[in-house]
Amino acid sequence: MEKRLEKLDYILIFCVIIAVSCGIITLYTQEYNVLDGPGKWWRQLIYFFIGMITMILMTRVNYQLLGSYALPIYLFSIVLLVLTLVPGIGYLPSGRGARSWLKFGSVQIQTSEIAKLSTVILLGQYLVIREREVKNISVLIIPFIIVIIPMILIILQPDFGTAVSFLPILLAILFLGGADILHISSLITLGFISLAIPMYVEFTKLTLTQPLIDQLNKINNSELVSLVNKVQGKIWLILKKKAVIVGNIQIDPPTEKSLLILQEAVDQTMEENTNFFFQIFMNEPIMLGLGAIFISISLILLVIRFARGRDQFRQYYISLGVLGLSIIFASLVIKYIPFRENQVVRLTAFINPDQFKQGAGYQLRASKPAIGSGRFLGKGLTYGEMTEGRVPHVPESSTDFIFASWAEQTGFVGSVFLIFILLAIPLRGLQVSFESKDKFGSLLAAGIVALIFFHMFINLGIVLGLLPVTGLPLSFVSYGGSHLIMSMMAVGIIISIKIRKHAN
Amino acid sequence: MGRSVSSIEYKLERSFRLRLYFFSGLIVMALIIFIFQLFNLQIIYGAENSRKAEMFVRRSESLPASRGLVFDRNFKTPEDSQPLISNNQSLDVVVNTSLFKNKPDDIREFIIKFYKRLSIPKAYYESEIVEPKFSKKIKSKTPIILLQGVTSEQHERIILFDDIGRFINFIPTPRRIYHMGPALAHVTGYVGLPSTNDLKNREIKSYQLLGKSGLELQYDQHLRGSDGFRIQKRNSDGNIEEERIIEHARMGNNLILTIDKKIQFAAYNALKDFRGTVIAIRPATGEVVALASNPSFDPNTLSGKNKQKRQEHFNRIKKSKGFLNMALQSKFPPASTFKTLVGLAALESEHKINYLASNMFMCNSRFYLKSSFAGVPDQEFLCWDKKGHGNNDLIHALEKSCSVYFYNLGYKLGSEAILYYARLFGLDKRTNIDLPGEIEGFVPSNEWKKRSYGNKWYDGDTVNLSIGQGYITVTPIAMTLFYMAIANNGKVYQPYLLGEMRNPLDNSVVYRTVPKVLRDIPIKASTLEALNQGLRAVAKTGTASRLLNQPDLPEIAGKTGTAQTKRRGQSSSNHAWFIGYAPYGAPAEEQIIVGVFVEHGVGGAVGAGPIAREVFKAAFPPGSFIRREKLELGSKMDEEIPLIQEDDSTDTDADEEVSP
Repeated sequence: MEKRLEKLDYILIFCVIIAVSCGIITLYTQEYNVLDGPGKWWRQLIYFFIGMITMILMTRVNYQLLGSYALPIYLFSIVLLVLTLVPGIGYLPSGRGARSWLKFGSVQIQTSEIAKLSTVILLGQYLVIREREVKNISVLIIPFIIVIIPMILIILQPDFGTAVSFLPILLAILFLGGADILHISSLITLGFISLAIPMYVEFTKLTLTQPLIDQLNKINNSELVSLVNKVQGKIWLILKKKAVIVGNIQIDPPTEKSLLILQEAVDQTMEENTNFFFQIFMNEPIMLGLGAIFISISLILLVIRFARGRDQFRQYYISLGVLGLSIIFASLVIKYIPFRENQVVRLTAFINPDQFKQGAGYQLRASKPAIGSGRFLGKGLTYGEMTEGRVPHVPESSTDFIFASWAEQTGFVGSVFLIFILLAIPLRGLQVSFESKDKFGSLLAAGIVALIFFHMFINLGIVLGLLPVTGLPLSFVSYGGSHLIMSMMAVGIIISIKIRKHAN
Repeated sequence: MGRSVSSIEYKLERSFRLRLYFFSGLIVMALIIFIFQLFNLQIIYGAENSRKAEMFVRRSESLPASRGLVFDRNFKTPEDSQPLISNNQSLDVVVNTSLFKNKPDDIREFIIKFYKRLSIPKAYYESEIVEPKFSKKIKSKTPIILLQGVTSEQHERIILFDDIGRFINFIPTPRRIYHMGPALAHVTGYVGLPSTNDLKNREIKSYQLLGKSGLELQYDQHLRGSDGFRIQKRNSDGNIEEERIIEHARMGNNLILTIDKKIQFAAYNALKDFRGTVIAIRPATGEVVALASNPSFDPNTLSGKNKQKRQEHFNRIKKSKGFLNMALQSKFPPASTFKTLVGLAALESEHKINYLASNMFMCNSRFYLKSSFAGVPDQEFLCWDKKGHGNNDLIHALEKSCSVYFYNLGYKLGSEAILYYARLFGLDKRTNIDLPGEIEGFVPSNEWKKRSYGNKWYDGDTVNLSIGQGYITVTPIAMTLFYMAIANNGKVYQPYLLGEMRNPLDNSVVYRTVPKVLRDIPIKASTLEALNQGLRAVAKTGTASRLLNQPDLPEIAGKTGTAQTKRRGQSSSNHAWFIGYAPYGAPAEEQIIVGVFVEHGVGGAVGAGPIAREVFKAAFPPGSFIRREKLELGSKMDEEIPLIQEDDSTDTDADEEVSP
């Protein structure tokens, strides 16, 4: 027993307790000036105790048991996810930041949190079993299926942010599990290019509204000017002869003749106001042709490789092929996927939040000044004007944007302190993974680290205005029992791995 | 375990460790990026972000300043004097839009609920909440005023509604009260809320009152004062948590006008039944003591709170051209009042045409003009008195307003000289009175005639011009200023309405108008004497003597005029002029010049004379003057009403009015 206590990772536990305390302090200060506040800090304190108990329990459990039961645990979490979707059992809160819950009496559980952990365990277990073949691309199919199932179920909830967070975790585990770097980077390239190019195009289109109005004013077409003024960014749907709904009013596309004039004005505007790349991206034949050329070169290289029978040109044909495919995908996405204006704004607002007054743009417009106004030493605890109260100026300031609240009150000093504390947790986890003599232990620890780290990375990236706004909590700090308990359970598993690092 | 297996194991282990290092590197990099961004946001842009955050949390709210008061020339202290324009506070109800989440829809719902509670009929507010106007209004953050001028009973009722109370604000709004109403409307002008155009082009906020015409517009900047503001910190429930007045509102300056209330009332009342204008100016300084124009409007209604009434009144006045200040925004032929100028031109150029005031012209009521051009028929010009005036010198010609005398004189003098003096005395220029919208009169020229009519200036045109008919048109105020030169030895002061501007707090003078000489024209003393004698004769024994040579009036000198209009055959359609000054012979400091113009006023003496009489009476109450001359009740002239002439060239476009 004494030996076991010695092996407990005190640094890790200390960091977790400090991080959670910072969260609880922030929640308390947010309600300090409010009469009859909801008492979130009090509830978070209870979750923290439950989390501590769970964490201690997990240190007692041999993590290898988790490996043995990986599949049943995974299936159980999938069942929970499905149950969430069943009306009557699942509880879908309305309003902002909707996350789905499962309700047992007065206890509500966020099933996606359980799914995250169980997915990581199953992935670790699978990659250990197929350790030697992991370089083969066929081995990567199963991990994808493991991840895709909960992702789809979570998207159906609908919680896009949480679902997307599975992807970096998958890639990290594949990377640590020994998958081919070329495969991983191909995946990243494919995903990034086929999403980034359409987003760039849509974002540019949104910025074209004002020049278009100017252009229409120049040709004195007041009817079209008022139309564009009304529908704003939705004018691109009008161009495709689709009716759009603004407010509660349906606006039909204008007559054939006006459409022609509008098209002409749009072309003129695009020519004058966009750069070379945008024009290339919008040009479908060039994009498809470019993709086809890359793919053909890649195929030729592939043929040569098989003819010679040697593992040659591999990095060339894979990267060229992926590049060609990405370009074609991007072009198809631009053409066929009708992005909604708010989606585009959500994903691109962080580039220039002042341009978008509502929605995601607003969150960032409020969160950056909130953080920045903390200056060096902060405004002091309980003086966080931007983030306190029942309806704070920074939305979600107790959950996803809690870091803004902490930064406002404690300034640069407090923020850097908290970031050090927070990132020490995954770093410490990696240390455990490094030291573990058991492959499953290493991989599980690394997977959990990836899970925790990407939550932190994405959340802080959003709050600091570096990444598109998606809803993810800041592990250990954000208000919310499910995620806190899950995170502490995960830390418990890491400690369990550390305690037993010499066991086999 | 075989060797090959362990080597693979070893390789895998090594690659795993490498990848762990790489992943650690990723985490450290994230740490550096975040700290860098924090440094960026909190240290480098810290001050800017603090300011941005301040804007989220604190709301500055304006404290509207009241407009300055306006007094007449008898002002002593603000407490003792009865103002011409004062303020009255009234309460407005405004929606606090910041408390609504679902912007246009929830607010609209609330507005409907509010009016329903107060049982105000739907028709009152329906037009205000129509889409897309309503959404636009919300978007542009235009304050939504639910009620203006709330009564105390309404106020109490509204306060009692718990569910409504927190969504509305009571805003005290100053209203303007015009104590002289329509009598001084063209001078004071009126105020209103700024239009969208005003908001774009002027530095004004949407809740501030803006001068729309008259002095309210001319001195808007000075009257408006400067708004104060307070900063409010509101908590998330919308309740004010903290309030600090950063700057107190500063009331606008008080204006003290040159207007004399008594004379102004007399002028307006005398004018009431006619379309016309009265201007009374002190020749020694240019102070305008009265300026009335009829038809007029009611500035109280136009600045009032009832929007419907406001609009109705506005439309009605616009239709009747009541916004036109006829003194400076309309022009007419000067008619016989122009004869004085012809006389002056002749006397001043006597060496050229060998003319003296004592020269006589015979009047047998007709003047024949032999055509100097082939194809142009001979013309016959008539005097207004069919009996003719016999042999007259200049003084008697002015006295009797003998047209034949001036036909002869003008013909002899030629158009050039007459037009030169018309221009010299600024009949085609603005007087630069401190009111907006003044127009210029029109003095024709040979080139102009050629350009617009295609033929040259005929002698017939000159003959017509000599009695102030034909192409020439002047504004009543410009014509009045010509007589100021006669009364004042050629000196003309710029007319002005603003005497002083005073600080409302300590009543100190902020600005005082110094009389400004508009033009100083050297006129021979002999000329002035002859003309003044002639003008005095008009009121003493001449065309206007019956009305103006009275014991209760000081000695008046002046000239009547009757302008022929298009509507021929009806003498009642002629315009009437009288411009004169009193007391005759007194120093300029005691004198007042009165110009009267009445549209379709029949004849100079009959139409304009009585009005001038009322104004002089008000300006010189019994006891305030001493008559220097013995009252002679000599032979009185008959009314000057011109005969209707057959000649087309006497037609004038008398109804020409120019809108501001």
